[in-house]
Amino acid sequence: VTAYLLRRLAILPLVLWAVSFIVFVLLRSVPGDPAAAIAGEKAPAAVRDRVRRERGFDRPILVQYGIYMGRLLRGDLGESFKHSNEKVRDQIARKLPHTVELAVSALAIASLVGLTLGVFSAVYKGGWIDAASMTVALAGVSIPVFWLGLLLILAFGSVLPVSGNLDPTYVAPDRTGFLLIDTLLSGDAAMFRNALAHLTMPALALATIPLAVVARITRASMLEVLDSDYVRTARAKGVSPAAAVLRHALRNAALPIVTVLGLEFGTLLGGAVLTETVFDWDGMGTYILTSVRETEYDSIGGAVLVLAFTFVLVNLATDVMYSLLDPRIRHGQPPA
Amino acid sequence: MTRISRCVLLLALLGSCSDGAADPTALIWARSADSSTLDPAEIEWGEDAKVIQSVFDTLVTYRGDTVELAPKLAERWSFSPDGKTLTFELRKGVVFHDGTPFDSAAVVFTFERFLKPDHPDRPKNPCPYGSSFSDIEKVVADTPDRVVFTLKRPSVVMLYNFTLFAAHIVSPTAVRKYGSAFPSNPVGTGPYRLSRWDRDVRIVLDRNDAYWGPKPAIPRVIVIPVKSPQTAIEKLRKGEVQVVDHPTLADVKTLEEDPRTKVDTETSLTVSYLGFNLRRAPYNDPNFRRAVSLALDRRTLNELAYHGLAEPAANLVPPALWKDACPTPPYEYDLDKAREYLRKVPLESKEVELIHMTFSRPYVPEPLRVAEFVKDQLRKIGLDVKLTGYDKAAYDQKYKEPNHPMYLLGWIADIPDPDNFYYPLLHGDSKEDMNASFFDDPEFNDAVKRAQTEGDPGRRAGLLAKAYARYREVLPTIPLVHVRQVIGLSKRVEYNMHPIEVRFYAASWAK
Repeated sequence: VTAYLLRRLAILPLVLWAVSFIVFVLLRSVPGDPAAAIAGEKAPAAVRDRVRRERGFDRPILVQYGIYMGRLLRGDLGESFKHSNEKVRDQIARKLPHTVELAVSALAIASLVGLTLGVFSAVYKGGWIDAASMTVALAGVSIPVFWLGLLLILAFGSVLPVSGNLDPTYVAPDRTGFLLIDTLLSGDAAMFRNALAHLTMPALALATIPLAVVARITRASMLEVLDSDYVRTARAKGVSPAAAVLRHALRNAALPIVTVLGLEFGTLLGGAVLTETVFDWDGMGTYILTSVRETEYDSIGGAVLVLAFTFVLVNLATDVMYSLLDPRIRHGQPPA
Repeated sequence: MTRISRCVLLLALLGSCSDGAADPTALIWARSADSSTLDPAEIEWGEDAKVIQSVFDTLVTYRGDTVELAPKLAERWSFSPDGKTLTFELRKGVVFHDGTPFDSAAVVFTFERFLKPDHPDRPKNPCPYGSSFSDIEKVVADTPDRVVFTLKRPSVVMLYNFTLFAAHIVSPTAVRKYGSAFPSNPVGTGPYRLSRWDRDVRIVLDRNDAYWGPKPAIPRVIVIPVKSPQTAIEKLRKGEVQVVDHPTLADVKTLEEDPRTKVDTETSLTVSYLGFNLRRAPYNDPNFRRAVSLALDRRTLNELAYHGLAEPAANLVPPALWKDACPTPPYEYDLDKAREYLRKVPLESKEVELIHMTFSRPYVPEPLRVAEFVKDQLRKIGLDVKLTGYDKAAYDQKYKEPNHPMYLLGWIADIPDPDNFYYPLLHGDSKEDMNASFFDDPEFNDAVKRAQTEGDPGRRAGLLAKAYARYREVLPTIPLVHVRQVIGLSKRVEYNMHPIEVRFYAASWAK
């Protein structure tokens, strides 16, 4: 396992370099003049030219790339020009926990509900529960997140907050950056409830697609296992139906489900861009969107890099989980 | 903990989700985006200016809800006979939020900081409004209570510029103390002080109890970004916020009908217009431009794209700033006459092109509708208009390219003077910038330039009228409408908009 992990870690820089390269090329080829954006609409041409010189936008593209890579290697993601030159690193440090919080909540909902639906569908295959859950799952994958978000707002907008992460009159202590944890640490129950209420709708909207995927995979995987000899043996030995399903079948059906959960987490980070926009959720999604609008090269590049990094790490973690769940992989034997 | 009690706890937690706010005395003001900086010298947009207009003071301001100048941090001012020296007598006993005294040294520091390229405390980015102050030769602290500006040439509009963003007086001690962090730690003399800024989340302003002027009625204002106007209005109706300063024009009716909300509208110093590339056929033919102007029924445009909340424009300058000379009717709509003019144009084909933005601006909240309207109207005189829309980054470059066709644009003036429309939008000096028609007419240029220094109001009006006459004759651009600004309010709040400034300190709770 260690050798495998090391090999995976060795590829990581290569992946990140590729991402950074693509981001650089894309940003430099879209229309928009960053120097004009910095100098402002009313600035005379001379000021624009000065900014272009000072910021190095007039240098040959290869030199610009060299400077950019040099900075990246030092861990410097650059600065946000239009926001008093605030460090992109600081901005992302503020936003990333919010997005992770949203994605993790969505994943929790998706796995809990998805697993339940999937298991029930498999056990009562062909019955009305199966039909109902699979219809829900089909709807889940088909409905676009932003549209569902709007529907949720229409339906629950009168009882749940429709935008933001926390009511602006509350100030959460800044300890972890994760609002649920910070508000809990504050000891103020009303504030925690408020954070939870703000999280509910975005997390639900974001959860639908992975929920549907998890439900379908669970059902398929469970069906395969439920028919196997060891489950029948367990039942024959007098194990209760519930225990047979949960302890013997689900555990063995878990492998593909974990893979899917890992992959879905990446999708969630992407889906967060849409969800955050609909619910005005302060996180990486709204950050990327604003940065694109304002031609903030460094912010866009930094955000995409960090998200890619997170994605790769989560995939790695999934693979490790995989080997923990299935001893055969751990011991280098191919799964049957 | 037993399983049941855990369930009960969870239910209790979720049960009262729509808990009210923690601080009911705070006014919550929703707007479209958070500030990007709170350093006056760095500010370019109205969105950023809103907050600093309550945290800092300027030397001069506008009286009440008019656009006439009134004293603020300066008690009096006077021009020398040659118009090249401007002296301000400063208010005594004013202190900054950090306790340091406001004096002439602070005024000198504020201006030199963005005027001198080698100033040790200059902001990193160039001051976006620096060019409005480029006529200043030097600033001198004469006595602690008197500051003298020497100008490169006499300027009639200069005094107005002292209301602009960059002219908000900053605490020199704070600028030196915070350095590059000053934009997040602004210290001024204004009616509110910044007590908290969580970027992209909220700005909390608390009343400055040591304020020299009338103290604000509301002790705390929390300014939050809510990007979508629909969401913001939903929050307004639920009582989560009390002010929404970016409703769309289509929302006005909803807000008026809801018993919990109301609307305030106010004139704005904006204009929308069609521009023409005067270096390219057929747009360079005056008869073509006349035909287009005659074919556009601005009253219908107002209903279609502005929900009736705009007024037809005869000039780029809104009528509030040049009432006496405003022609009636403000524009002519005559399709037959338009066709007649068009016949005189040697057209190679019936196809012409209009480029437009796809993003909303205050002067064109619904650019697609305006573009479609133009296409529709011009079809009536036999022209086939090809529409091409661009997003912000692309459009800012597109209309400055040398071979662009017709374009849709608009302007928000910074100061209430016709010069702030004529010079940046039409003067030959501005061809690299906002004068995207490349209009460069000696007669017009001369009249505008002379009006900038003409101290006699009568003679100045004559020069401006001359410039206008020349503009109408050549029609390098066609003014469309002046739209009103609107704000959505909770009935619990009293607030009257000002045509130019945003004044949180003017809000109060309804009796």
